[in-house]
Amino acid sequence: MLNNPFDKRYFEVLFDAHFEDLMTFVYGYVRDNEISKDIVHDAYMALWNRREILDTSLSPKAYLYKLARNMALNYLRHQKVVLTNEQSIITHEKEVRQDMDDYDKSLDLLAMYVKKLPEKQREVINKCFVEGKMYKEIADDLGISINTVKTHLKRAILYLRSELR
Amino acid sequence: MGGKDHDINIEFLNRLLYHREELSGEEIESWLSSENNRKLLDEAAMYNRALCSFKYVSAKEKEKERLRLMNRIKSPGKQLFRWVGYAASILILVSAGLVFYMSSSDNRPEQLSIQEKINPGEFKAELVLPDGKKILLAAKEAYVDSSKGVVVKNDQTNGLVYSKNDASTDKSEKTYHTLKVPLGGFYPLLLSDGTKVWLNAGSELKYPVEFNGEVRDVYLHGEAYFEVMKDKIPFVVNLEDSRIEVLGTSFNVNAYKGDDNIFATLKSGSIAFYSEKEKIKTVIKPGQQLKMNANSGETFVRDVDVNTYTSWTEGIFNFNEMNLDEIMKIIARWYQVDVVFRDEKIRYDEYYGKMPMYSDIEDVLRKIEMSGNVKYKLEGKMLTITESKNGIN
Repeated sequence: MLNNPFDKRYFEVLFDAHFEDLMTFVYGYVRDNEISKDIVHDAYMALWNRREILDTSLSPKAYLYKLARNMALNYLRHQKVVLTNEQSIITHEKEVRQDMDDYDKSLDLLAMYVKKLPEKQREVINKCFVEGKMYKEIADDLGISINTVKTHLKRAILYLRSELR
Repeated sequence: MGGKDHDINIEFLNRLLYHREELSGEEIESWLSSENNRKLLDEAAMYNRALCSFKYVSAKEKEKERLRLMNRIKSPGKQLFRWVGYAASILILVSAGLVFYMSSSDNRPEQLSIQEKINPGEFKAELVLPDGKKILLAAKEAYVDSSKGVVVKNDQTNGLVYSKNDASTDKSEKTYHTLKVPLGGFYPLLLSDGTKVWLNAGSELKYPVEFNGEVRDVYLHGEAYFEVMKDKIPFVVNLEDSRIEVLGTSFNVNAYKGDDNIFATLKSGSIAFYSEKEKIKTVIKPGQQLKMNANSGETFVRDVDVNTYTSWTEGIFNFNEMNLDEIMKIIARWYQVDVVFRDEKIRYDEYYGKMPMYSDIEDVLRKIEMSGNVKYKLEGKMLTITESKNGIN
């Protein structure tokens, strides 16, 4: 946009502006604070190393989010396996996803819509996505059948998807 | 979508997130190779962050991370990637990300139409010639004129550039150009004497195409940052009811029509400020800011952090020690919104913080909300600021 120099000062401003939100974003994928820090750190480093050749049609923020998500996905894979097939990484990225610039806004909306869910559905969603529990554990916790857990989950997800369209 | 598959995927997802050690590399790879599954992972990541009783990164942690990062960029060449395969993939990922981003914005027309999109400012201005002709300038276009011994060029890095053609020594009458930067705009300019000027949103500068005579005179409404080329001939910035005289120095002038005060902030050299109503001359030193009350002409001098007032030329909002009133004026001009304060007492609260100026307006407002006692509401182009009731103070 502006022809400002991409120098250390500017880089530090980018750090200040996006660090917390990126941490939040990456944590969702890796569920570990230390790993999140490392990934966010590496995303910033990658941005810095590419600063001379950044495409100006993409904001540094969008770059950071894309890099961070790719790194998080790689982390999920590399825990077990070193991926050598670069082609598959590219294909993964062609899919259409929501614009990262709206991510923070979507979080607020989502929190609001979850509050509108029936109580049981909300509980199941929480246990599944926040506590990371398996169907069996959720069923035991709530004293309902596994099938009911699945039904609640499915209904809740479909509702949230339709609201976030 | 098949209900059955859906169920299985969620269970697998939680195993992936929490019990990865139970899974084989092939299983993970094959699961992640499905677009639907990756979408589910994105959703799960989002649900987790939206629903989790939010844990912010502590300020101490952030400082640690800042140091780690800033230290690392000081010593280039040391590239230690923690996970195997990172280095190789990043290059590809970045370019792949580009394709992905562009196609995603193409595919979302309905989202944009819901609310009028507010864009940050951009590189744009209008040049007004002596005959009243107007030329729209954007970074890419090139307006070139070489009559009267001065070459006028417009390019992407330097903005509008006037350069003297030595062959001619035209001592005839001065011709003036006016550069007008609209709200939501920004433009750099290089004058024929080598003086560099950055014009901020909602400002205009009138200047001679070629300087001759006893004074280098320019006329400003709004905000501009000057790096004046050293010369024996004084450089004079004419403002409403005041003027600034310098020989060679760098300073920022903020003199918007209708504002209560005019500010001149000095980075280097020295400047003499003349208030015409009060008939006084004030000389200020680097690191000082002069404030003139636009009604009375009274002047005050104080010490400031000069960067706060000049970083806009580098695409950075710097709100250090600014009050909300000043901040909102900047936001209104940059994003072209109208600001209304519901509660007057928050208007003069001071804030700290920096943001890149390309930021989405809501990102900037959220940061302000998080660090102060205020709430914002954005409806169309109307921005309402209220006091936050659950604030601590």
